[in-house]
Amino acid sequence: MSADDHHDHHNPPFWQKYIFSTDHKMIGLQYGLTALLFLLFGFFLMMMMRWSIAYPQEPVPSWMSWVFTDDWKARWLTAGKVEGETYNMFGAMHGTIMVFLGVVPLGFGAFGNYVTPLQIGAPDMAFPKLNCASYWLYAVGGIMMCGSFFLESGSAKSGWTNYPPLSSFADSQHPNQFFTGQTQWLLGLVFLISSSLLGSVNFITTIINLRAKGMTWMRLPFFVWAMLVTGFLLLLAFPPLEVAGIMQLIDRTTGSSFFQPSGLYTDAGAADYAGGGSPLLFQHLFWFLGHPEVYVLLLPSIACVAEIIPVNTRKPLWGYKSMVYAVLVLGFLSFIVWAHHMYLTGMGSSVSTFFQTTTVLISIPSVVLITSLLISLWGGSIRFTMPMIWACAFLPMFGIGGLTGLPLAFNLVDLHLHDTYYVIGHFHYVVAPGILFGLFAGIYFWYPKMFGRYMNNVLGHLHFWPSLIFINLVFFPMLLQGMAGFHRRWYNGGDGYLVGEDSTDVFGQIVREWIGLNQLMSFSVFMLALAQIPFIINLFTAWKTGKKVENDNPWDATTLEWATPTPPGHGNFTFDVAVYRGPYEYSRPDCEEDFYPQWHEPKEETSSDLDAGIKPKDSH
Amino acid sequence: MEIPYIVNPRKDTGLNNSKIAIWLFLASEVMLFGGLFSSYIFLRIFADYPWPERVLPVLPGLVNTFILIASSVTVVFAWASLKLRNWKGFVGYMSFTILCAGVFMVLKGFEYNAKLHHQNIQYNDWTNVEGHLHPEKDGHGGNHYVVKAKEINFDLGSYHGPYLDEIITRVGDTKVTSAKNITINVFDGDKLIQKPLINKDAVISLEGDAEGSLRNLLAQAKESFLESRKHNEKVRESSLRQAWKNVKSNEGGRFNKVADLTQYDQAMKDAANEENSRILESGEYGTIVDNSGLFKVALDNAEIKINPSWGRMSASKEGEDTAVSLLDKTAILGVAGDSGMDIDVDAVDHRHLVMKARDRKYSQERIDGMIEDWYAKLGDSKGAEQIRTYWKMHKEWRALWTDQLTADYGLDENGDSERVPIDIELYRITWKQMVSYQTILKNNEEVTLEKVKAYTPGMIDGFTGANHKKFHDSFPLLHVARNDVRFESVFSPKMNNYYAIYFTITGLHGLHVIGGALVLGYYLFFGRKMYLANPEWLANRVEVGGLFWHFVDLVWIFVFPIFYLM
Repeated sequence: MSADDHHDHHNPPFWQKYIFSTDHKMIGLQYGLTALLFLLFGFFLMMMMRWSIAYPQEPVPSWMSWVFTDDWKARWLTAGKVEGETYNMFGAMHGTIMVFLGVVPLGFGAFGNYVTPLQIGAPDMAFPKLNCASYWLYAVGGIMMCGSFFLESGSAKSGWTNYPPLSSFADSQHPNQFFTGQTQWLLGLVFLISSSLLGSVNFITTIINLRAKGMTWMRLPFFVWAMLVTGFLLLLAFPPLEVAGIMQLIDRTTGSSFFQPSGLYTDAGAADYAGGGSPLLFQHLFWFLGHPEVYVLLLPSIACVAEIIPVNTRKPLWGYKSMVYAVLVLGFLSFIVWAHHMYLTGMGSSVSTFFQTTTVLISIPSVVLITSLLISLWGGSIRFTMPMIWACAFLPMFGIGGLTGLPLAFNLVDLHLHDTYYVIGHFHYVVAPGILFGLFAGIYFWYPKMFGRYMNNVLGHLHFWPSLIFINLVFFPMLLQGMAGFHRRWYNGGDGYLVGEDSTDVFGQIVREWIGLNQLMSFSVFMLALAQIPFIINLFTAWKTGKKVENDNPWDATTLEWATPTPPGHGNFTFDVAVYRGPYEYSRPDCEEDFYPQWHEPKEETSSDLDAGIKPKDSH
Repeated sequence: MEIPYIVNPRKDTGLNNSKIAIWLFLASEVMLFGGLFSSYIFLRIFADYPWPERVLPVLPGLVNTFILIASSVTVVFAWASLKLRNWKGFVGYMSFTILCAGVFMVLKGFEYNAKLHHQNIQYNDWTNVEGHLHPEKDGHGGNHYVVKAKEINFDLGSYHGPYLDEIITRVGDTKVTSAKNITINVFDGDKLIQKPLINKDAVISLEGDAEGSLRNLLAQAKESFLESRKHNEKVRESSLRQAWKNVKSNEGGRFNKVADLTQYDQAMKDAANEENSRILESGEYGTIVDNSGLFKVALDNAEIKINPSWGRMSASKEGEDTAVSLLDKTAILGVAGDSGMDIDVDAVDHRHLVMKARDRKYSQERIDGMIEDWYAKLGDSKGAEQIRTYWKMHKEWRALWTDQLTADYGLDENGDSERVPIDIELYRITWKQMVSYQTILKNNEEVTLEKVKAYTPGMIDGFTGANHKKFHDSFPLLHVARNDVRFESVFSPKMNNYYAIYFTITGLHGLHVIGGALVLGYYLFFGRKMYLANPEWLANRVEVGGLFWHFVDLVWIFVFPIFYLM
C-alpha cells in the first residue's frame, strides 16, 4: 500500500467519521468513551449501595439523590432510604455494568481495537463494518439494560449472575413481560454476546491474517498475544451463556421451566410451572462463561502493563516466551475451572475435587505472568512516568487479588468464605486496583498516540495517589469482614444482626465487632469518587491543552504503533511496514540508542549476524 | 486504504480473511449448539417426570432431513458453477437450495401449528389427557376462569389497560356501581385540594373513556394516587432528614456518646426514628392519609371470563366463593362459575401417576386401583363412557401383548417372561390405538393384536399427529372441571422441558435456516454485479455461505435422531 492510497475517504461526513465509523481507531475511542461512562454510572450505583450499607437508617444525601426524579424516588426509595429491592437493583446492575459494559469494552473493545492493528502493522481490522456493528450492538445492549431503570418494574434485580429460580420469579408479576427489567437484561445480554462474537471473530482473523511482513508469531508484542487469547475466550465461552440467556427468556415469556424445579411455592401458592427443571444447569452454563470472563477482564489489562514496563525500564520484557506459553495455557485452563463458583450447590464432592485441582493448576500460568512482569523491573533504569506508576501499582494490587483467591479455590475453606465479603474483597482487588489500574496505565500510555498530547502529570498524581490509598481502604476491610462472616448481600450492612453488648448471640457480637468498618469503607468510596475528578478533567483538557508530543514515538518505544503518524490517519501507516526483530529490543549493547524499533531496517554490515542470534527459530 | 487478503489467500496461512472468520464463527456456533445439546442431556437425565420418547411425528422430520441434505449438495454445485464461471448453473442450483430452505420451514410450521393446537390437561392425580380443546363459541368452550363477579378491586398503582378492556367487554350490560366514596387529591401548585370523585352506589358507565366512565375515573384516581404517593414520600424524606439533623445537632445533649460505638449508633438510630415519628405526628409536615390506592366497584353477578395465564383463582369449584387475582393486582371477587374445559381426548396417559406412586413405594394393586378410580370418577357423559370402553379394550390388548411377548421370547430361569410390555404400552392409550379400538367397536369385533395393528392409521394420516378431521368419532368429548386440574397447557414450551428444549433447539435451528437462506438469497438476487466485476470474490462468499449451510445441515443431523427417534 502506498501513501497515495490514503486519500480515499479523506473527508467523510460527520456521522460516518464519528458515529458509524469503520476505522478501528475511532471505534476504539467510541468503545473507550462509552465504557468510561458506563464505569462512572456503575460507580454511582455502588456509592448508593455503600450509603445504604453504612447508613441504612438515613436518607440518601441530596448530593447523590438529586439525579432521581420525584416519581422515581416515590417508587423506589422509602423516606429517602435505599430499601432491599432497590439495593438489589443497584447491585445487579453494578455488577453487570462493571463487567459487561465497563471493563471488557474498555480493555478488549477500546485498547484491543485501537492498538492491535497498529501493533501488527495492519491498515485496519479485517472486517471494518463488522467492527462498527460490534460497537453498536454493544451500545444498544447497554442502553437496553440501563434504560430498564425507568420501567415500571425497575431494572434487573437478581445479581449479575441472574440465578434462577429467584431471577425467574423476579418481575414475573408484570402483565407485559417484555417491558420488565429482567427481560430487558436478558435481551441486552443477547445483544452484548452478539457484539462480542463479531468482535472476537474480527480480532482473531486480523491477528492471523493481517500481520505485516516479517511479523512472525514470536515477534508479536505480548499485547497481541493477550488479545488473541482473549478473542478465543470470548468466541468459545460466551455461546453457552447465550444458551442460558435464551432459555431463561423462554422461561419468562412462555412459562416453561428449564430452570424451575418441581414443587416450587411462592406466597401466592404453588407456582404455575410444569417443573422438572434445574437451577444447577443455569449455574453451569453461566459459569462456563463466567470464569473465562475473568480472564477476558484481566488479559487486556496485564497486556497493557506488559507493554508499559519494558518501555519504562528500558530493558526487554523478562521471559517473553514463557509469558506467551503461560497465556495460552491460561486460556485453555480457564475453560475447565468454572464450577469452583459452585462448591456449595451440592453438585457432588468428586466434581468439586476435579474443579479444585484445575483451579489450583491455573494459578501456575497466572503466577508465571505476574512474576515475569515483576522480574522485568529488576535492574532496569526505571522512568517513573505516569503510566509506569499505574503499572507498578498494578503488580502488588493484582498480587493481593490473586493470592486472596487461593483459599477460595479449596472447597473446604470456601465452605466458610463463600458469599461473604471476603469474596467481594478478593475479586474487587483483582478487578478494581488490579485490572482498572492497568487500564488507567494504558490510557496514560497511549493517550499521546491517540491525541498527540501528553496527559497532565500533576493531575495524574492527584488521580493516582488518592486512588491507591482509598481503594485499599475500601477493599482491604472487606477481607476482614468476610472472614468474620459478613454476607455479601446485606443491603443494610448487617444492621439487622446487631445486638447490645450484653447479648449472648455470638454472631450478633461478631457483627457488632466489625460493623464499624462499613463507615470507613463508605467514606473511602466517596473519597475515591473525588479522586476520579482530576482524571476526568485531565482526560478532556489534555486533548486541547496538554503538552504536545515531540515526535511520533514520544516514549522511545519499539513496537509498531509508534511508527505511525500522530494521531494515525485512516489506513494507519505511511510507509510499507516490515518488521525486522522482536518487540522488546531495549538497551542492546550494539546500538547507540537504548531502543531498537521493530521497523528499523538493520544496517547491512553488523546486524544480520547479531539478529541471527536473537531471532527465534521460526522466523525467516 | 484496502484491506489485504479479502479475495486471495495469504501465502503463509493459505487462507483469505472470510475463510478464517467463518471457521471461527462456526466454532462459536458449535459451542452454542453444544450448550443446547448438553442442556438437553442434563434435563433428560434429571427429569422427574416421564420423558416423552418418540412422540413426534417422524415423517415431516425425515422429509426435512432429506431436504436439507439435498440442499447441502446443491449449494456446493452452486459454488462449483461460480468457480467454472457458469452463472446460469449458479442461479439454478442456488434457487433450488433456497427453495429447499422454504419447504423445510413450511413443514416446520405445520409441526409447530399442530403442537400449539394440542392441549394437555393434568389431573390432580397426575393422570394426563391430551386432545383438542373446543374453542370459545356461543358462550361455551375455551379455556377460562369463570367468575360471577360481585366486586372488583383495581390497584391504582398497577392496573393494566388490556386487562381492564377485557373485563369491561366481559361485564357487558351488567350494572356497575362504586363500592365506596372516593375522594381524589388535586395539587394546585403546593396547595392541596380534595374533591369527591364518585359517591358510593353511584352508577358507573363502562362505555368509552368519557367523563364519568370507568376508564376515566380510574385514570383520574390513578393520577391522584401517584401524585399523593409522590407528595407523601417527599414529606417522609424531609422529615427523616430533619430528624437526623435534630438528633445529630443535639450531640452531647440528649444523647450521650458512650464508649461503645455500636450502642451509640443504635441509640442514634432509635432517637432518629423516634424524632421522625414525632415530626410526622406533630403535623409539621403533612402527609395525605386517604391514600389506599384501591378503587372498588360493585357488580350484580356479571359473568367474567379471564384467561388463566393472567392470574390465579383462589377456589375454582363451581358455586364456591372465589377471588380471581390478576397479575396487575386487580382482584375480581364473586362466585366461581363453570371454568371447565371441553376437550376431544386423543390420548390418556397414566405414566406420571405410576411414576409418582412407585416413588412412594405403592403396591401394583394400589396403583391399578388408583387408575380405575380415575375412570370411575369421569362421570356419565357419552365421552366418559367411551373412554372407559377404550380402557377396557386396552387392558385386553395389553394382556394379549404380554402373552405374545412371552410366546416370542420365552421365560428366564426364574420362570418370568424374558420380555414384558414397557410402561408406555401399559399405561398410555395413544390416538392410534383409539382409532383402532373405535374401528373394532364399529365393526363389532373382538380385540386381537392383528386387528389393532391392521386398523392403526399410517404415517400419512398422522402426518403431524392425531388427525381430528379424519378420525373425529374416535376421540371422545370430555368436560374437565377446573378443580380437577393440576396443570394444563398446550404442547408449547410450558408443557414440560421436553417440549421446551424441542422448541428451543428446533426454533434456533429454524432461525439459522432462515438466516442462511437470506444470505444465500442475497448472493442469488444481488450477486450479479459482483459476478461481473470480481467473480472470484462472489465464489468466495458463496463458499463461506455454503460452509455455514453445511453446519446448519449438520445440526439437523443431530436434532433429528435426538428428538424424533430417541
